[in-house]
Amino acid sequence: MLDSCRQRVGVGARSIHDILRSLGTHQRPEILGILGKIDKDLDNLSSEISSVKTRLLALNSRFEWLQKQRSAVHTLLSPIHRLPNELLMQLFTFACSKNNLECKNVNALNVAAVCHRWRELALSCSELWSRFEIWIPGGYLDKDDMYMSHAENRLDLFLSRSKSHPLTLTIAADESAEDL
Amino acid sequence: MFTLLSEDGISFQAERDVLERSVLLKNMLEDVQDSSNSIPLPNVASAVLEKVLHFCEHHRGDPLPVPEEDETRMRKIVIEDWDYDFISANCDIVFEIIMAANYLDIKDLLDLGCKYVASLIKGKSTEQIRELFHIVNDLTPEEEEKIKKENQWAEAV
Repeated sequence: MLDSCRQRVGVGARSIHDILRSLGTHQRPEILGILGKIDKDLDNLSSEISSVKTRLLALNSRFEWLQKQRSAVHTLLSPIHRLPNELLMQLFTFACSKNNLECKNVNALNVAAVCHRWRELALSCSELWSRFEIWIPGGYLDKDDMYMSHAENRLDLFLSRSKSHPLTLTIAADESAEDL
Repeated sequence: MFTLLSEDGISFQAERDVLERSVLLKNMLEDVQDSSNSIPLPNVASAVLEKVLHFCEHHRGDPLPVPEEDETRMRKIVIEDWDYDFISANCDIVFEIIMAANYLDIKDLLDLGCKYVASLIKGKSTEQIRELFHIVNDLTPEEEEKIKKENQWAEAV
């Protein structure tokens, strides 16, 4: 590639060297002519460098993209991906045998958010959403109003996704919530 | 004694009551009078078959799970000590064991494998689950948005 660049230079290194070391005087037009040639070559090289840089950026970007795709495809070798859907569902059923709706990590919600396949399977399995625990707080604090609103949302979600599957639910309540 | 031939051509010998922990083998043995012929298991590698037979030998004579008890079985997440030691010692091939148990129809081993993996999932965040099993997040932005709404609470608290 460098060789091909050198060939494009209008003024050879040798002739420049000869002119610089020459004992005689040179005519201004001759020097300006050489400078013109050098400037033209510099322009050509500059545009060539910028096109190579653009190409390099594109290649690097493609390289990084392919590396990411490779890592993603490589994860498919992970043993859990070899499990057929029915076994994965069975595994989910055990993993989601308890769902505490007031916890940060609700098993069924987390399982359904891992990847597309897990989500589709989890949403299609009403049993996963049929076992849960809810807590009814006492008092009428603002914090509890917000809590109740979130709890209701989660409860609605679990009830809709459990469809007609029989529910197994645990309800806990503060003593002060006994009116409920 | 009967001889089993693994996928990679290794022979294993076991007695009838050990093999009958597997519903598949039990049915096969009913038709086999001559124990001199080996039973090929093309879906089970020797490393996995060895563990499966170890499990079956330990549980020989135990009552087989009754299908009607499936619901109760599902709720019972507790793993017995020997079973836990067995499965955690073989955690590097737990998915192969699960698939072999499914193929051979060994319900208690299948449950054990699934319960063990389930115990690894329980209580973990989505990201932790992905890291544990090397799963790539391939959800669309629309799916991500829905999930974000579902988990709104987790983010607010």
